[in-house]
Amino acid sequence: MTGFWVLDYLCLAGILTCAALVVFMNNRSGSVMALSGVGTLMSVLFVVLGAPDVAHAEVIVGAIALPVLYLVAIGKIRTDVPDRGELGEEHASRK
Amino acid sequence: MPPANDDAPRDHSGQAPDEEWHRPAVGLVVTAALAAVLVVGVLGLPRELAPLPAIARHALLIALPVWGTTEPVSEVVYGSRGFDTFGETFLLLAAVVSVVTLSRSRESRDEYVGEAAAGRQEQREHDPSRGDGGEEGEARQAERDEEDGDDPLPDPDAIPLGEPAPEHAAAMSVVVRTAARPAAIVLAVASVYLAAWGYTPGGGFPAGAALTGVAVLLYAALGHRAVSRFVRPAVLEPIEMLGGAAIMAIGLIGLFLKNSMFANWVPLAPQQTIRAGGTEQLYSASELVEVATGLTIAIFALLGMGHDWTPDEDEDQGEGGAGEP
Amino acid sequence: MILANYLTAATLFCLGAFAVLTRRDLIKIIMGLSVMEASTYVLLVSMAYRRGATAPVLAARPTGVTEKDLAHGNVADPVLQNFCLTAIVIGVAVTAVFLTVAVRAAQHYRSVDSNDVRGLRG
Repeated sequence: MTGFWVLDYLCLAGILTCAALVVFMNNRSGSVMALSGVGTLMSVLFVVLGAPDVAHAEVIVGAIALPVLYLVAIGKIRTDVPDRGELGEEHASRK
Repeated sequence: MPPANDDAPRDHSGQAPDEEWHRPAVGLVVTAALAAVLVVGVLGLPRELAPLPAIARHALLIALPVWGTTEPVSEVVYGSRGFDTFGETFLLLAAVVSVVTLSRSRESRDEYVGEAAAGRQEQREHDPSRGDGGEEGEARQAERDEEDGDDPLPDPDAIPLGEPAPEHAAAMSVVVRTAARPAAIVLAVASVYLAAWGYTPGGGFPAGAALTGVAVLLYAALGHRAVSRFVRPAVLEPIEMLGGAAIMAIGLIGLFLKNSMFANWVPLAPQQTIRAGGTEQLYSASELVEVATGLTIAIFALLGMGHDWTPDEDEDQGEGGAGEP
Repeated sequence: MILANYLTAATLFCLGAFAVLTRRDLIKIIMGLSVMEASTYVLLVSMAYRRGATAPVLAARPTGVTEKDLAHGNVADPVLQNFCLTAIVIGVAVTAVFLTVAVRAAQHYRSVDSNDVRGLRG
């Protein structure tokens, strides 16, 4: 049984360090990566704790959905980026 | 570029504020008190030797006879607690609607409501090549004419190694562009597979979110023009609404046939086959459709949010521009 | 023992609360909220764990197993895991709306500092 608890404590330690990084890091994109680290390590913890369904959802949210949302928001807040059009974000066409 | 109103305390907007923290000492005290309360509360929780609660045992017992699935978590998510998942899926729908509403570009208020949109529509019919008309288009064109002096957009493959390429590259390098297409296909199949087999873990939501990841991968690799055909709200929103309508239909049919919402009205298939699980499969598939289109709409609405600095009406009525290109 | 999971969830919650209380940057505040949500996920799934439990996947109908036997069966609690799944979905939806509001506020007030955004109108 100790093997299980070793894995469990390792994941918990990883999650705590990543969460501390998210809170105490000043660089925004860096803390987004730390937040993604929290999500991914939590997914490993869920696999260890016997919750495969939740691990599926958490790995995708932690690795894809949240970082993309945060990085797009951070990019949008930087208002001094010249808007070039092609790779830049054209106005969402309405029709 | 001087900011529109000079009294804004921070002219370099976007940069993180100078002092990072706001009264950390007080925050620490409050958090310590919160921590004490939480630890006391957490000590009282049932530990890992506690017996399974009654509802869990009930879920385990009825998983096979009533729903014909060997996956109790899916049975709980899409079966006996289907109404809860219904609420959660429609909350995601409400979040997508609010993101789309918030990120719409400002319609110029000095005309009748909808006039600018009608003008744009008419513009597109008569002169499609001109694209979005209106003063914003002209302002953007004027800016581009001024700018023409500097270098044309460098092709990423022409940029020597070691340069800060992503800062001004117009598109991804050829390696990324070619690798993205097969990867997207494989990832799309893998994410749909996640929800296809009802008796394995994984349901509609992770599969839908993975499909959104594929859409974002294609956008990042091939640029907006490549994905704009599928990603337009006019295309995605009907599909999302169809997914929502399908979920409601599944619930209501269950209500009429078995007089309880989201009850199983599909004949049971043998275990561990694709049809196992009764209405769970239908529910999971429609949630997949709704989550995939919903998250894609939300992300691309956030991406397409214009830089229209909304100057305060009263403050700088004189020189506040309607929209900064 | 599972108490370590519970205490980790409590510390995560306090870390997130500290970030929300004392950070000035709008995006960092929303990240604090995400850390608080993460702590609820850890707590829910840790409460669903039973000693020696495997994932709640049934190979076959637990024949001949009475209700009482199932009580101490070596299976994790599926209902709590469903709560966590719902919480994850709601977390994504809410974070998307927060970020859109934050970007609009930053564009309008031309600053990301929550102190400048505090100017109430009227």
